[in-house]
Amino acid sequence: MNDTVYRLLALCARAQCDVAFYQHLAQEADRLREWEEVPAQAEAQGMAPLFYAHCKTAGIVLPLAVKRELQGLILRHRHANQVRTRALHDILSAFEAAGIPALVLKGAALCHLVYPQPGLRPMSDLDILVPESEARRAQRLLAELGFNAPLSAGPGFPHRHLTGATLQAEGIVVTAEIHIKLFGGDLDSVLLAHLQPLVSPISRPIVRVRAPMQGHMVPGRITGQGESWMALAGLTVPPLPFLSGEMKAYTLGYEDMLGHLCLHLTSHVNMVDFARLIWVADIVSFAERFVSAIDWERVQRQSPFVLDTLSLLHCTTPLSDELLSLAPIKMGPAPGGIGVEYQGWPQTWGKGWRSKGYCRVLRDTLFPSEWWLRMRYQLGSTRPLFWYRWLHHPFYILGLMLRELVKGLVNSFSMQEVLCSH
Amino acid sequence: MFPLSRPRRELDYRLEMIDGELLLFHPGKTKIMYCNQSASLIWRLCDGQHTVEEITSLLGQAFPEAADTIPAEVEATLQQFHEHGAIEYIGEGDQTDSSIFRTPAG
Repeated sequence: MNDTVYRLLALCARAQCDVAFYQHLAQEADRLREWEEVPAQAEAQGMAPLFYAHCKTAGIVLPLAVKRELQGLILRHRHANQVRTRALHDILSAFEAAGIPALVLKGAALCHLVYPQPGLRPMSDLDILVPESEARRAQRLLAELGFNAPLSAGPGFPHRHLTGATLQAEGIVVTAEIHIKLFGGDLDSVLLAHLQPLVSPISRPIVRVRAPMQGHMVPGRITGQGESWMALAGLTVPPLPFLSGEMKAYTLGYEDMLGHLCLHLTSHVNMVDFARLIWVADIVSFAERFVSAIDWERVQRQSPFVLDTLSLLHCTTPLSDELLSLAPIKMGPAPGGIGVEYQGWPQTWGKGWRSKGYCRVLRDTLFPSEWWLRMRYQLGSTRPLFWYRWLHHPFYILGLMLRELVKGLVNSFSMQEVLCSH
Repeated sequence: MFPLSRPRRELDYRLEMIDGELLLFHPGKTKIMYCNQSASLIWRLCDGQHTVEEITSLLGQAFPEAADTIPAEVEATLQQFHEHGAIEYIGEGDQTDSSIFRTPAG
């Protein structure tokens, strides 16, 4: 993506702005000469409605073709959000009638909590957290509501959410995912278990194990609300009520929400995916909107990676003075390559190697941008980069390559056995 | 398009306003179409009940000062809707035959 386009979109990655921000945005927009790729990039980043709204407030005159393309995107997202919200209300009503406690996660909650209009926050699906013991019943209820809701036969669930249930409604496909925990184990923790003996210990662990948050029983009733909640995996504070249209719903409490959003963002900073700016907007907007209500000491104690993430996001879209004064965010110098995503192996593979050049791909694989490394390994803008740059990341890549090699060898042996048996 | 055929809106197409402009779009497709006031009236009349002739007549009553240009405008707009996939024709014929539709000279 064009650097100027990224900077422009990144600046807009927030729900609320002040006059100084709009002046800054207008100045950045003045620098942009080629606007053609803006709608497509804004859409890829989930930013089309927010970008358009901020440009309009800033008085930026968009080229007509760009304006019209963005308007089309906005109307589609607005409609899709309305359809998804109606589906969400049906789901929550059904769950309530069946006595299944449910928390609404991510976009479906945030669009009402932090954005001036829900349509500013595009959604791709509905994420709903339920107790693991109720997951099958929840999935069956979705089927009764008309969703195509697959249910695996075996006991237990291999992932943190069930297979998405889908419903065709008013021209779009509504997907609802039943989550049983906020985060599952990921490759990092598996690989680390193998790599740990190879890495010499230092006073501070070289590798940061991203363990799921420890859940515990959320006791009794939400104060004044009259509901009781069973154990929901990953919660450390009581849920937060909010209004989805006219309907009362619940989502993660302040500190859990911040932790969840930050982990979600950084989990997408990997070799095959990228962190969308709309997720940056979620985090920044939530932190700024509820800055006085958030227990920042708890955040620092329980999920320090939130503060590290915020310190990096400040380089993308400047955090408010209030947030900087209340949250113990340590600021370091802006890292190099802000917004530059990973471009090495395995994202570049096969023909890409040849067209890009092997040396270039090798460099991109072993030495990605500083910004990417800091986001990926939750280093914030102040933690030392050395061990991750020169040891952790190269070993991680080596581990992945070995894994792929072993997988390839096992597959080819299996194929040979099959051929020989015939 | 025959005068007695009845245009009908395809399912899920929507006409909505944004920043003072009317857009015709389908939630699952990328193409959009900008509509002026008369186009939006024509769209609303594409209910499968009104014939092309009736739509033309109704618009003529609504905009008497533009009576000469309305037939051509209705034809062009319906053609655009049809090319966009936003309407289908039911009733008599489904072929566009603009010679049937033009107002006689003089």
